[in-house]
Amino acid sequence: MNVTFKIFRFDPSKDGEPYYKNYMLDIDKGITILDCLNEIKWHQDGSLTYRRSCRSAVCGTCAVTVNHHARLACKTQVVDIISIYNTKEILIEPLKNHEVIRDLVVNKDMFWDGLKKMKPWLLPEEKSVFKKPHKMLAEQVAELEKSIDCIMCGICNATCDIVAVNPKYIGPCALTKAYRFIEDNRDTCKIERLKIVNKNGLWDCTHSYGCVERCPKKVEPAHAISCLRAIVLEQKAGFNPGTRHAEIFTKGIKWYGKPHEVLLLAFTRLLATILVLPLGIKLFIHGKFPAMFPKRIKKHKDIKEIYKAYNQ
Amino acid sequence: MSGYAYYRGCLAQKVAKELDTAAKKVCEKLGIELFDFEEFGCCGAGVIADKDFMLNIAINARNFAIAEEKGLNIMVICNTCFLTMREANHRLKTDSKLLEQTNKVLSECGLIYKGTTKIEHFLFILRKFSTLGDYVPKPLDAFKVATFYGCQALRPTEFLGEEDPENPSTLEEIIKKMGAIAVYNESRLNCCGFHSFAVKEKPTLKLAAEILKDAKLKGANCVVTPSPCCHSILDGYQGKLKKIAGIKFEIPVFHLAQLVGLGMGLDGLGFERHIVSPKKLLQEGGYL
Repeated sequence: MNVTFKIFRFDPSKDGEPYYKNYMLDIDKGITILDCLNEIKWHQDGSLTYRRSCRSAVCGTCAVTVNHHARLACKTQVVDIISIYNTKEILIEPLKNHEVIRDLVVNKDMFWDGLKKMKPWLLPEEKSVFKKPHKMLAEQVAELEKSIDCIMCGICNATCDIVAVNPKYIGPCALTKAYRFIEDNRDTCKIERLKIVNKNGLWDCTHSYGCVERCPKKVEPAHAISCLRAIVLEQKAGFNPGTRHAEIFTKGIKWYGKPHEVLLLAFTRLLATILVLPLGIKLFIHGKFPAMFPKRIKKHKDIKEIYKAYNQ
Repeated sequence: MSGYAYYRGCLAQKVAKELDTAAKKVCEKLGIELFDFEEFGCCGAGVIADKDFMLNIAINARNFAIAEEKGLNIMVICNTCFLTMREANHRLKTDSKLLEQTNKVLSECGLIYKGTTKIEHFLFILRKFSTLGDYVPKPLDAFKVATFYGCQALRPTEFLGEEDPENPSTLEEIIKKMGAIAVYNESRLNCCGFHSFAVKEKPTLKLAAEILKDAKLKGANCVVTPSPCCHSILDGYQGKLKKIAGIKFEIPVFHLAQLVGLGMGLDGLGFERHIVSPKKLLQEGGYL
C-alpha cells in the first residue's frame, strides 16, 4: 500500500520558514512510523533529522506529532493511523509546545528544567538507607507504580493545552514526578515539594485529559495532579485561588447539594472578582446571573450524612 | 418505567437554562421520556475528586442509586457531568470493595447502589437516531458550523470511549443531518479552559480565543458545542476573546440541543439569552 508522508522540515541555518516535504513509501502491516522515518532517511533523504534510540517504547526519545497528536514513533503502527483517519496521507511534525531545533528535533531544555525544579530523586532521612531497609507496603508501591513508569518522552507536555498558553506552568510530567516522590514514604522532603508544586502551577491544570489519553505508558498525569491537590488540601499546604476554589466548591455542595456559583467565584478570586463585574452585568441582563440564594436539593440531609461519613 | 432519569447539571439550572429548555423539547419531539429527580445532587465536577476521592464517589453513587431504584439510566446534557459520573460509575463497577464501602455510607440515607445504572450523554443518544434527518422540515443550510466537542465528551477513553478521541465524527454527523454545513476546524478538539477559568483567567481566555479565531478563519458563521461549560466561556467572554485573538468576530455559539431543535422547527429555544445574539444569522437564514 502506498502512503504519503508529509513531513515538517526546518533548518534554521538555511531555511527562512518551515516547509513540508512529501515522501512516498510502500507500507506493509507491522511497520511503525519510526521504521518509515528510517526508510526515508536511509534511502530517500539523508538530511531528514529526528531523534531515535531504543525502538521499544522505553527510552521516550522518538516522540513526534502524527496527524496533530503526539505519539512515540516507534510504538505507532502506520496501519492504525490510516484506520483512524481513513487517509493514506500522514502528517508528521515535531512535538508541539517546544522550540524546533531542526526538522522533528525539539529543544527540551524547558522540559528538563521543570523536572529539575521538582528534585526528581529520593531524599531519604540521612544515612537511614545504609542502616536498615526501609519498608513499603504493597499498596503504597501500587499507588506509585504508574508514575514510576514515566519515560519522560514529553508527550504529556506537548499535548497539554495549558502548557501551550502559560509558560509559567511546569506541566504534567514534572507534577507527576513530584507526586511520585511526595507519595514515597522514604522521602523526607514532602513539605518542600508541596511548596514547589503550589508555586509552579498545580492549580493551573484544566482537566482536559489530553495527557492521560496520549501517554504511551498509561501514567495518567491528570490523576497524579488530582492526588497532589488532595494532599495540598488535606495538609492545608496552600492558600491560593486553587485551594480556595476547591474548598468553597466542596462547601457549596454541603450547604445546598450544588455549588454556590457566586460565592465560588468571589471566594476564589477575592478582590479580583471585581474584574468580572462587566460580565456579571451582562449575565444579569440576559437572565443568566447565578442564584444568590440557591434552593437546596430535595433530601439534602443525605448529602450531609455523606459528608459526615467522610469528615468533611 | 422507560426513558431516562434526566440529570441537567448545575449550569443548566440558571446560567445555561436555555440548554435545559432545548434539550427537553428535542427529547419530547424524539419520544425520549425524561424523568426529573429533585433530589439529584451535584456530580462534583472533578473538583470534589480533587478534594476527597471517596466523597466524590459517594455523592455520585447516591444519584446512581436514586435512578437505579426507578429502573432508569441517566441522561446528562453536560460534558463535565458525563465524565465525572462515568468515572465514578466505572470505579464502583470495577472495584467491589469500593462499592461495598460506599454502600455502607449510602445505607445511612436509606439507599443502596447495585451498579446497574448507565450514564449517557445527550450527544451520543442523538447519534442513535439514524432517522434524525427526517425530523427536519427546513434544512439549516445557511449555517456553516464550526464544531467544538469539549474535552470531557471524549477523554479519557478508559471512562468514556464513545468514539475515537483523535478523530471523532458524531457532532459533524448530527450537524449534517440538520442540513447544516460542518466546517472542519483544527481546534474542534482543543480545550476551552473552563475548569481553570475561576483560578487563572488569562490562559483560559487565550485558549478560548484561539477556538473562535480558528472558526472565523475557516469560514464558519456559528459554533456548536454539547458542553454548557464551553458555551459559557465562548459565548459569555466573546468581547474579551476578540481582543486577545486580534481579529474581529461576532460568532453565535449554540448548544447542540438548540441547533437540533432549530432544525426540527421547534420554538422557544432560548436564543434571546445568548450574550452574542444569533438573531442576525437566524433572520438571514429565514428561521425567525
